Amino acid sequence: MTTVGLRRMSTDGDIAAVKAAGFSDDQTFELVVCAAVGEATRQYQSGLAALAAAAADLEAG
Amino acid sequence: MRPAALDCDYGLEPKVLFRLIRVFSGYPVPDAAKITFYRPDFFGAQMKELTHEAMRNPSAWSVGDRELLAAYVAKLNTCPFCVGAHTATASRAYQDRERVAAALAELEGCLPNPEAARDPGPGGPLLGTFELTTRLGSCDAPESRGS
Repeated sequence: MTTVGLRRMSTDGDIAAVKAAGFSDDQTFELVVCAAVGEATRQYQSGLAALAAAAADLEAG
Repeated sequence: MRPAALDCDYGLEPKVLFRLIRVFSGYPVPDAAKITFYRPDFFGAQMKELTHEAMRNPSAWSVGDRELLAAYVAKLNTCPFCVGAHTATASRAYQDRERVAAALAELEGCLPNPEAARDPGPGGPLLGTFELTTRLGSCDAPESRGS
């Protein structure tokens, strides 16, 4: 199975691929939730890094 | 495409709630809201708790600020339901629909390269939300802060 990479949403193609691989609805649901949590975590960490950089700029300022 | 289970596998209580919402609002429960009732032990219960903590608990950012940030992030995530919901809630918190719409439009217009703003790396989209929050500091209504 491929991952969604840096895309921010699961597509019909992703779901179809998961179903074709034999995953159940519940397993598909779990995969989508995990992908969403992973993406949210990445955005959160990017935000923290951006805030730290902006705060450093202000201090240097 | 959605797993079929997400359309029908709910307990009696959520089903009654969905029906009531449909009767009183005239609209079906949006999928994004419905999904929090599917296997809540796996996702919905924790998500609701986290969302409430982030969006309503005491914070240096007002409820309006947080809803506006959420609307902007939803825009970048191309989620029309979330854009609509967070924009409406931010407008209500600020009691200024025009200003919220203008802030979101201004931010979009100020970006030198919208594609760059979608860059997932550090300094990407959420730096924009930081700038947006800074700009809206004067828009902050004390009564809209969480308690």
